Amino acid sequence: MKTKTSELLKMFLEQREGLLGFIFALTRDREAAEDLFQETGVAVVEEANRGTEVRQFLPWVHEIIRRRVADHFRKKSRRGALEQSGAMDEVVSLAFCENPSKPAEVHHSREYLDECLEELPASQRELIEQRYREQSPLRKIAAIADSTEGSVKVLLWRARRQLARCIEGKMASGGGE
Amino acid sequence: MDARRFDELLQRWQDGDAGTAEVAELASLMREDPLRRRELVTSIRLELNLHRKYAPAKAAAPARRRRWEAVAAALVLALSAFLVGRLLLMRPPATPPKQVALPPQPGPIGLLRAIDLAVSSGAGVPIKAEVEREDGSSVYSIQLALGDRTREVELDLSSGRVLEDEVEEENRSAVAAALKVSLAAAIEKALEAVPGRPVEAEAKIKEGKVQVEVSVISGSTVRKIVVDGDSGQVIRR
Repeated sequence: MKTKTSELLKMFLEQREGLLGFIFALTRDREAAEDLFQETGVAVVEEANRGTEVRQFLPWVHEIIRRRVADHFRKKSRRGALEQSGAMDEVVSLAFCENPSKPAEVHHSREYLDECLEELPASQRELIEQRYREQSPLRKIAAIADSTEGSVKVLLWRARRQLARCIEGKMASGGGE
Repeated sequence: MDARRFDELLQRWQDGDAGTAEVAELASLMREDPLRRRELVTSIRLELNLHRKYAPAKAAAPARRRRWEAVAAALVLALSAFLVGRLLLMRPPATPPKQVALPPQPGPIGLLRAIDLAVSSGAGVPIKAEVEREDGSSVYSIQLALGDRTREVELDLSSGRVLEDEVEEENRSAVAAALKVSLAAAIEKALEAVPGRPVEAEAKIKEGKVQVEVSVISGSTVRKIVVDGDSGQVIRR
């Protein structure tokens, strides 16, 4: 059964968050992820125009993405990143196929992120802001806090975990569907 | 397997610190347990949302310029500004802009934010943005080239909520490919030349050259500013 171009694009747009997340997981680079997402959109149109048969959208588009991410690392001569991505991409693809993005969840998760940030202890919130708003390097944050980069990474991880739990809690009780 | 080990590996992988053996171990742990896979997805989505919250997506720029190109462009702009200044000194005073009926007023979120929202809600290179009257009310309408199709996104004027998201047969890929400055950047350039509220911007190819026509409400008039889609320079105001 052939899938029409417009149906493929519709699915692509509906799954935007999940696909961008998948690319980000493989590249660990937000700007590269945005660029590769755009390229994937064009590739989806081209494949559909060629009449490519698509039975399961997510595994199909993940395969396109995996090839593009591999090309991206090859062009950048990042052999280590290519190997690591290769070792993880299959299971990461499975994870994102099992947990597709739902529009209502996407909307609520951003709303809850704001609420949960407010609920974080001030020190954790400041750390998150330094890292994501100021885009401060870990070295700089560590110097300001008279700490080590390793400690800052652990503190950031704990802050993100707390945020994730808070958002999940609100989703469960508030209507992520 | 200790849950702390999974946490430790996931953290090291997300921070880009995991070695080959650790990545293999993490992949193996995830294959065994769907809850761990879900945790990875949650963690990645949160990080992406944090990036997006604090550093909103730049409007998809069709091409990144190298540093030397940026320096060259700045020099050309400076030289052009000097020459235009000289010319203005020699020219008679400009006639006041023509009074025309005002188009629908932009809403509180503004045209630039509407473009940003359309980009972040899906793929495509923005090529046209306007405040459009539809069924008696006004909406933001953003067109994005997506391969050989055109995606049209309509957004609520005050909240920016996506009202419609459709893909049409129209092929605007040539304009998108030729455009070297993003539609949003062209609007910003136009606003530097003529401060006001942007209501429409469209990238077009005219006589083989790509340009962006930007309409700005300035006082009680609508001014049309033309920006070179290759250099980002204002060529007509």
